[in-house]
Amino acid sequence: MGKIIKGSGLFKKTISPYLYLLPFLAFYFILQLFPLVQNFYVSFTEWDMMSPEKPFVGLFNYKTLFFKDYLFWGSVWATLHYIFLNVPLKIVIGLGLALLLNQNLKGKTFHRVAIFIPFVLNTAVVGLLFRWILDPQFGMFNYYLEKVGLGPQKWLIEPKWTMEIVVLVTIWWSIAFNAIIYLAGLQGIPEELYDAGKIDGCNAWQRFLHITLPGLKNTTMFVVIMQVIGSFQAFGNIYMLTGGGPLNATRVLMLHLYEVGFYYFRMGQAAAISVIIFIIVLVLTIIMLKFFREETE
Amino acid sequence: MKRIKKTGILMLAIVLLFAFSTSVLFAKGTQEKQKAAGKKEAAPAGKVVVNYWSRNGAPLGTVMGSMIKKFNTANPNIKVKMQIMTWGGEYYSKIRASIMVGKAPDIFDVSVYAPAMFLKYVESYTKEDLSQSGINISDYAGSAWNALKFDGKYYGIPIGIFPIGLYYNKDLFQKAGLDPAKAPTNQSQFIAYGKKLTKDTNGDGKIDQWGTMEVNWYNLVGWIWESFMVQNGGSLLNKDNTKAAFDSKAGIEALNLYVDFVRKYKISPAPGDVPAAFASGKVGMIIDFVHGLSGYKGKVNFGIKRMPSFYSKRPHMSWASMNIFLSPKGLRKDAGKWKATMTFIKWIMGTDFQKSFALGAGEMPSRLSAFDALKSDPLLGDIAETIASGQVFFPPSVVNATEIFSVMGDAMGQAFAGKGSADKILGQASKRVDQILARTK
Repeated sequence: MGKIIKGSGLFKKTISPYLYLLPFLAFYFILQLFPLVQNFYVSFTEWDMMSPEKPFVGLFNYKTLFFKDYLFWGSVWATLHYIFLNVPLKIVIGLGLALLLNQNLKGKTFHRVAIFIPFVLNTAVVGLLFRWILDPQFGMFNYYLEKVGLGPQKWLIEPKWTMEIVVLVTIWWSIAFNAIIYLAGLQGIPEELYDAGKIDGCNAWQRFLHITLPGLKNTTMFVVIMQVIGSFQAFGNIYMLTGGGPLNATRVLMLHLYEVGFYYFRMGQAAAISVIIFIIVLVLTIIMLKFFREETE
Repeated sequence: MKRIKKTGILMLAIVLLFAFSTSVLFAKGTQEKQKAAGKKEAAPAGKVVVNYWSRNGAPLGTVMGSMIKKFNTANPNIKVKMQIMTWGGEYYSKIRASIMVGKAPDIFDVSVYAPAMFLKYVESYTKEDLSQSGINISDYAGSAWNALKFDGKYYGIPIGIFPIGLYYNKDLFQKAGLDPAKAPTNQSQFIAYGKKLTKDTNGDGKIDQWGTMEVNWYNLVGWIWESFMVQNGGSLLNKDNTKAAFDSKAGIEALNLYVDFVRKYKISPAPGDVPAAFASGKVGMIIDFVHGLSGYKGKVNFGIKRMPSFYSKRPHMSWASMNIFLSPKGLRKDAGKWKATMTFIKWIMGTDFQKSFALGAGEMPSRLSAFDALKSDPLLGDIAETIASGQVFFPPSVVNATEIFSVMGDAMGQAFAGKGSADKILGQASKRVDQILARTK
């Protein structure tokens, strides 16, 4: 065997592994890397989606976004609002659910499945479902609020609290992801550590603080990074629930990108938004990785 | 290690080369496809297929679909294939993508503001072209054709008009002691009627029947406000469509009046789902597009009248949109397809179709002879007269009209939410519209 490899020369040693990777690489290049490179290029052009020419306009699209697009900064703010609500809540609730599911409760499997079911729903289904439930005029939620003398409320019509509602719906829909990841993390913490803690006289809270949380550091790093990236990419749930309204209160960057690109057909500007999102996410991910690594060390 | 680095660099170079070369090839391919746009799919022997994409759902699309069946039966050599698509940005994205790859339909319908977006990519028509196909411009509402005129040519065929009008609930009028045959015709009447119609019907101390109601689709709110402003002598943009002109005295007065329906006169609740509220008989008068009437038929006893004169400088003027046919550039190179398409357009623009379509779907015709036939119609008669007498106006033909609508919609939302005075809100919106217009010069 060694003889064959030795005898086959440089080609087999250097190129042949890549040939095995070729099917994956072909998809990766065509569907991921090529659009990424193309997108960078389009962000420096002016293109209306119909013209075969894409005139190069330098930084025009970026300047327009920063200085002439009043909705851009509003979208940045809405995105940050969404992230600051969504990420911490999903981590805390996800961890809480995982801790509960990790107990030897009756019907453990049933509860796990029940929490996971909403996650398999399509974003469009979730958005439509809650739009109907929260409809101010004929929604189920207002119906019951009125029954107890608290309604009707202008859900999804008044800008106030709309982002909070969007985040709560998102949590209901996707919390299972964090819960399952944390559950896997919890099951990876050796039971002996808890036994040792008990012998040393640690109460439940102390065990959680000094054994569980440190044991979940890598899991938390993964969850935080995934949630931040996912929150920057949030689109379907918000688009279906509010369409970015009312009064642009939930118009996150991805919604702005979609509207600029596919309603106003300024593809160059839309590409510039995606480049900005890409850079923000990249920088944040590097910072978070560094932070968690230092913490671990 | 060195070798791995070298291989990595090599792979990266291949990827970048591949990405850029594909980009160039893609662009080239697109150009070639565009050049070949005129060459369409082969039709069945002896039959020319005309592909038609529509953004109109029920009732416009369904009525159109059933009428096209009649056309196909009457014209055995032509088959019009209609495909209804979801309206909105997605529809225009599909049209753009289809034009880019040379697969555009032979006809697609668009709103009044869309031709400006497609000028370079669609067929234009001269008066002579149209008359050769049996369409004489003088037979139609002049304002409809003028809205499609760029550099002396017509970009699109105005197949129908849908203005904003006043719907009123005749039963609620009667209960309030108002004459169900007469809708309000001016501002003071509208407010007085509104007050009479606003009631607490079950005596629980809460208003449950309103004089009027503002819609929570703020683009429409913007168009209604624009109607008030135009009646008051104002306009959205300046004459050459290069600057915003709505932060004027006329615009500010109009916005204050509109918001006062809620705040001062208390004849309207906060903006909400107007069609649902009117259909359930909880609102006496609403301002909405006339082709929405099918949603109320059989649910409430209602009438439609022209927009009241909220101001007297240009009485009864109301915002209107149109249903416009466009064809991709290059279609006329295929003589057979072009002839079939124009035959279909001629049929659509004929009095019979225009009248039947108005009665069936609520969209008003562009053909004057069809108006004459509609004037006696109890539901559509007054609206027909409004169009025939030129009391409608269309939005300005600018490339980024949808973006301007969005800015105006935001401004209306802010005004109704009490986020500032009318002059401040319109001043801010005006600067934003100027930026949009400057960007697209």
